[in-house]
Amino acid sequence: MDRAYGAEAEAVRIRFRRWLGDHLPAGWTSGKREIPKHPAEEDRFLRRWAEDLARGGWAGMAWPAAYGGRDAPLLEQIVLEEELAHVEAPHFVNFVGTNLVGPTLIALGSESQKRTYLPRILSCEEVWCQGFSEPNAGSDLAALSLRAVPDGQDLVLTGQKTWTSFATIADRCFLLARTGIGARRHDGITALIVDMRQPGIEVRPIHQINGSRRFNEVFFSGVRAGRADIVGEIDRGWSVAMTMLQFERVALAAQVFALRNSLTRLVRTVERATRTSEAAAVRRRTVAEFVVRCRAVEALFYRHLSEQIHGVALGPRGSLVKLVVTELHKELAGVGVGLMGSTGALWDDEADPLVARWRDVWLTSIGYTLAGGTSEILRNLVAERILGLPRDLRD
Amino acid sequence: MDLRLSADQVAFGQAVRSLLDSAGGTLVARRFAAGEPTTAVDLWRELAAAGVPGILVPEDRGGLGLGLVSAVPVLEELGRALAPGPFAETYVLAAAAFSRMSDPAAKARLADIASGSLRVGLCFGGEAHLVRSSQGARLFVADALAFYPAHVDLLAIDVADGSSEGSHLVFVRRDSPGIRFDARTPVDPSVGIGLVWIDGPVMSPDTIECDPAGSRRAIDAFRVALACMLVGTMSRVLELSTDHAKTRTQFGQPIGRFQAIKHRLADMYSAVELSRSLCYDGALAIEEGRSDLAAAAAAAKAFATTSSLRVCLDGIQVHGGLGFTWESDMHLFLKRARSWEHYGGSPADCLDAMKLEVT
Repeated sequence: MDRAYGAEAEAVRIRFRRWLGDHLPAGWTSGKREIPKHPAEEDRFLRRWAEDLARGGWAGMAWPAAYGGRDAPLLEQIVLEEELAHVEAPHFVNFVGTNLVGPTLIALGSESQKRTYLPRILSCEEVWCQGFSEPNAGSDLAALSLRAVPDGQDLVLTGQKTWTSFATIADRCFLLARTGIGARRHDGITALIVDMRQPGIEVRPIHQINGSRRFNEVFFSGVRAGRADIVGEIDRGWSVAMTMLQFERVALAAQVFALRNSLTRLVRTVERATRTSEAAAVRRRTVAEFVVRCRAVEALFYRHLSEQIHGVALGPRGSLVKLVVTELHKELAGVGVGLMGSTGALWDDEADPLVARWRDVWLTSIGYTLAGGTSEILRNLVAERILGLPRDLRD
Repeated sequence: MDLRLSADQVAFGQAVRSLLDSAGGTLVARRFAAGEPTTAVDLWRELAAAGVPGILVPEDRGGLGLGLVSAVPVLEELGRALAPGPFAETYVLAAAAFSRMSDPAAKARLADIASGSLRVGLCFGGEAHLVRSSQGARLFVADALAFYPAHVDLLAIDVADGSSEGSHLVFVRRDSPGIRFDARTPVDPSVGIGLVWIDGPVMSPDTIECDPAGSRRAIDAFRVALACMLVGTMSRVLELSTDHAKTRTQFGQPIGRFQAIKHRLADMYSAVELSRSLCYDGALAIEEGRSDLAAAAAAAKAFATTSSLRVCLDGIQVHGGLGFTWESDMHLFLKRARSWEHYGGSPADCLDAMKLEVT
């Protein structure tokens, strides 16, 4: 048994850390983490950051060499996530493209799709978004109803997607549309590549409780997609979507490392807060409990990672870390806000930056217990697919 | 990067499970509770024949010479079966303490552990002091508890001293003059328990005194061992509760179909897997002599304590009224978890061992 990353992964770590030092905005690593506030400028900033990462060879490095990647092993991808988290790097806006769509097209796309889209995904010349959820199809994704109706060589799309991240930046959308009614609700769904820069598409940012507008509603009215842009077969898109979802494992690492950052921040906060407080011992023990629980989550994450690295499929166990890390982060961040005392009632970014940070981390953490599978759905998955309990009654 | 047990380690655990199942599983605990210790004594003999007691004892002392990671699955199985006996105290605490000592008495005791002819108990709670004078050293213990006082040969006591570690382990012969036991009734029916009184002078040439640093390392290993046994207990509770949820029907269906039951079981599964992960990490940290091994061991015990209480309570909930009967095993698991809450260090002591560091 061993917990070391190994020499090769550590060498990648050193190279990437040096690259980050050279390419992050000036002052970033010493704490000056400023992103433009204006939405259009923020989009431009993030897009440039994605292109920089791509130019450095860091985006899509897990792709096969034949498609421009370097077959980087999973452990090296984890190292990258760890280093990005360590400096709280800006969001990588083409995550959907390089981590989800790219590998899916490599596995299931046509030769023409691979030739056309893969190079542009890799360079981040084209940024992608994912169009899955709808107002009436969240946890019950198979209830989606955005229609794609054949019209000559095209399909015409009418309907709405929601919770689409970075849709204001995206050039392409990988979406699921209803093309037919089958024996099961999962039949009659088609995976499609859609050009986001065409008339008929309206993107409306969703104002989230943390003040961000990263997620969007996207309305499709008379939007066209070519038959050549069907991924897999018509009416058989559900399995394509399931293939794509299994590529989300690197995103989980980012969650684990974000939790680590919050724990560090909690320790610093308690050190600051207990200098004048009589409740020092109580606060110390509260934080010590979180240290224990965070250790447990990391140990579980590395156990699961060990299985994947050594070729053992995680299967439904993959739901477990997402469930525990997001719920723990929400709880920890809540304690962080609580330590701010009365100032926790202020939404005032000019005041103590620590107050703003805890507020932001806490409100954002709530979203992660909902996105990518709500905690309730994940508990169902654990109970049904791991413990073998009977499925919920449903239509 | 590989935080998994090896195939050999898994196989050893499975072999111990077979042995414990053949002995009757929790029936051994029930017979012990009913005042018939012979089944337990037979079990200890069978475990000795399989080499289990010597798992951490060096090969040149007749043991298997394995590391703490190898003991993890074995300890889980012992916890799963609620097997009565001072396993963590003997196989881990005493073996770990004696292995680091050059004292010939300690080395001789290692061989006895491996052969199954020596059992060790540990005092907890109460007060313990060692008073040194020109007449020698005298041990005073008041109001302490020990598990299986009638069945152990050596008694370990963590005595306060002036050292930076604060205390060290002293191992005295149970039959020494000056040691008195009051047999008491335990909450956990699968154990024996007694109050221990020691009123000097039990320090004899037979007494083994472990240095403070070595004592701390032995207690770290002991904490991981207790955590492993609690993981075994928890996983058995999960297994029984899941089976019950699949077979018990109410309102025309298995109760496991209802989300209240289903989600509770999912959370129990989380607790077991998280606890197990800390046991692996704690055992690995100790084997590797990692700089954070004390924190890793304390974390394993603290988390297993909290989790096992919750899981065992949840297990009773899932079983409904049945879970509240003496006939069901569910209360045995709960009472084991409760009894060990302060064993190996209170939850507060374990939390205090966590370093609040900025990484």
